[in-house]
Amino acid sequence: MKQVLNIAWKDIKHMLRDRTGLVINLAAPLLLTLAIAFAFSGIGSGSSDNGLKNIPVLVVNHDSGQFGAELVQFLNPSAADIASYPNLQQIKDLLTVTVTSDEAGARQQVNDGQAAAVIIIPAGFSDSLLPTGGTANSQTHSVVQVFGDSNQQLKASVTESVVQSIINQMVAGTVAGQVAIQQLISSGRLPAANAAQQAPSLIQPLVQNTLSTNLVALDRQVEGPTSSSGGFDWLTYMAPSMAVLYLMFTMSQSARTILQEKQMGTLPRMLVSPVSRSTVLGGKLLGAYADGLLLMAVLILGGKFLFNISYGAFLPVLLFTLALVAAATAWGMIEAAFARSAAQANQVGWIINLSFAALAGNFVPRTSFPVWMQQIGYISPNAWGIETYGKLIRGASVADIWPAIAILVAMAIVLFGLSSIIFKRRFA
Amino acid sequence: MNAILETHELKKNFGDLLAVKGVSFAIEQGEIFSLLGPNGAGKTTTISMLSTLLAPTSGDATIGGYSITRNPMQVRRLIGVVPQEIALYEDLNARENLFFWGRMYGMNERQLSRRVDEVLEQTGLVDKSKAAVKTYSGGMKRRLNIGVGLLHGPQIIFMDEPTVGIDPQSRRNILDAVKDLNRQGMTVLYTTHYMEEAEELSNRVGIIDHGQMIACGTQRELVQMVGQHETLRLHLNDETSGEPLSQALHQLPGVFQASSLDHQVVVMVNSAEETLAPAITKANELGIKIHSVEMEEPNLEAVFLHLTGRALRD
Repeated sequence: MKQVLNIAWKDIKHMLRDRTGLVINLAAPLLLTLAIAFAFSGIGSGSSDNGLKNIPVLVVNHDSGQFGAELVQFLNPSAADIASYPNLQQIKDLLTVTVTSDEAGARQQVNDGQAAAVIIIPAGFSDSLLPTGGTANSQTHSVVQVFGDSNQQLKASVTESVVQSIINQMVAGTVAGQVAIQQLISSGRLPAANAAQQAPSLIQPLVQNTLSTNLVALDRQVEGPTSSSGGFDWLTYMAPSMAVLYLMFTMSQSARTILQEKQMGTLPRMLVSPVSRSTVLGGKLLGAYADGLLLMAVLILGGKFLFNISYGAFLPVLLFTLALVAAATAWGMIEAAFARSAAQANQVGWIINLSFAALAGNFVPRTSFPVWMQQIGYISPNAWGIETYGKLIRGASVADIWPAIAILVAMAIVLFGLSSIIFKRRFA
Repeated sequence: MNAILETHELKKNFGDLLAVKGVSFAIEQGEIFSLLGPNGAGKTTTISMLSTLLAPTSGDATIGGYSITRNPMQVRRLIGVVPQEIALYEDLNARENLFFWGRMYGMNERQLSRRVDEVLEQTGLVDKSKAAVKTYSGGMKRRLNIGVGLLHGPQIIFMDEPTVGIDPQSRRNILDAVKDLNRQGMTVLYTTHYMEEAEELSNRVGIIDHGQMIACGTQRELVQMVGQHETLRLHLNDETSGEPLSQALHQLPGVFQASSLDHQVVVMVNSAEETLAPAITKANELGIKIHSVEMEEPNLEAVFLHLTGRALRD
């Protein structure tokens, strides 16, 4: 154990003496946070429109049935709708909807940049949601199209997410309705011959109920951290995001030192001293881990004192940060284990870390990505870091975040184990 | 005297490359044993196996009675290693480097503190002990590199070409330091491709080439292998290849071997004085200008040339 601490302390001294590296690794994420938040949210511009708010959207409804009308109603709720279902206020704040019958004109407005997207509800949309012949059969609904402005991709994606969520709830409601009808038929309370006629009146309340109840989940998915004026808070999003991004790059760098020491000759010297390979590896891991903890401590405190961002209660933040740094260190070790030289490990590290940054939403909220891409992002500590620090900032406790902690710890164990096996074989 | 180190048919393959092909030798306690051979001969690979950095493909060695394959930890406690490259942390100062490496050998803090002071004194680095190693000259780094190898008081020290790439004064200092260490009882395994170093330092020399030990013994024993042959060394101008002259000199009477190396021709002859004039005549006939001439008594280079047909240095 003494030699593990000896090696780790030596690496920490190296890190602390590299003043240029320290400044870059600590100052850069804080500066980048400020720059990106400024660019996206217009800090100091006097604008009250903080990005994801009042997105101009057009709706074209070709459907003659009730579900098309309900979709329009939920996208563009009236004061009475909001009085009945207060959660609809948040969709009202998010989207500025104009209903039109001119589809070509609406598409042109999107092409001209006057609207972020046009939502086109096709004819037959309502019929596609209703069962035919009184039987509960699953049908795919006619496809609602969202035609977005490529220059306003984020807003178009958010719009698409909102529409998709509403339709998903509608489908859930109709499925529930179909099941209810089937039960009524089975119990003899509803003659099968009357099922088709009575289906709409039975299903519609279920759809409405499902929509209004589950839109609460929709809001959180779309909006993320909000500023005091109600818009998306880029600073609160970017601070932990940049901290996590720089943590990943720093851990790649720290793990690479094992290959640098091989080239320098100090690693072979360590390996001919009376210590085991495990001790040498353990010392390098501990040194890298300590580097990561130090970095995160400074960035979290920096976020607090420079940007007034409170990351939440001490214990959950500490536990999560310990797990996150472990996972990040493990990824750094794996990159170094597979590389033949420090230069190669550098290249591998860049590729992996930039890919993780893209998938995890380090620069753009993941909620605007397709669902499949959001799921893949969970392979990275970045995604867990951004998501969980967001929850912590909004007041999550240990009970709320323990699954994320457990997953990161498991990730660290698996990757450490694998990298240990590879290193021991290489230095046998 | 007891053998502190014995190797038994040590072999090392790297895939299809046979780097060390069954090397056997012994080193007596208290002697300086040089492993002499050109670059790529297998010296560093042999030292790497003996220091337990590389596992032998086959064969074994014992150091202080411990096997390098079965008891590597015990072996590591007995040996000190001075690698060819400067294996130091340049951001740390000399004192920090010594403390780090001393702790790697499990030395307790009081003992380590005393030894660090002693080693700094021995290496002449007391005044610079608090400056980062990156500010040191090449010679100072080499001295500290040796100091690290001595810190834990090993029974035998392996020095792998410690004078490569340094100035003559620093080389002189290192050679004197090796002799001092040996006078104090240290056993030294010293690898080099410089014949003069092996001649100056060694009690016994092992000549290694292409992974094989081709001769081993005292300098007198080795030189007797080539009889009374002398060496004539003809230095040519920088642009000139010595190959045509080397082939031509083979035809001269009294010439046993001739080989060219870079811009010199090395000839083993009965009498250097008698062969000099005909050699210069041959050079003139071929239009080759000779820059300078050396005549040498039988030495290790001649032994190497006799055994391999090639000159030692490259």
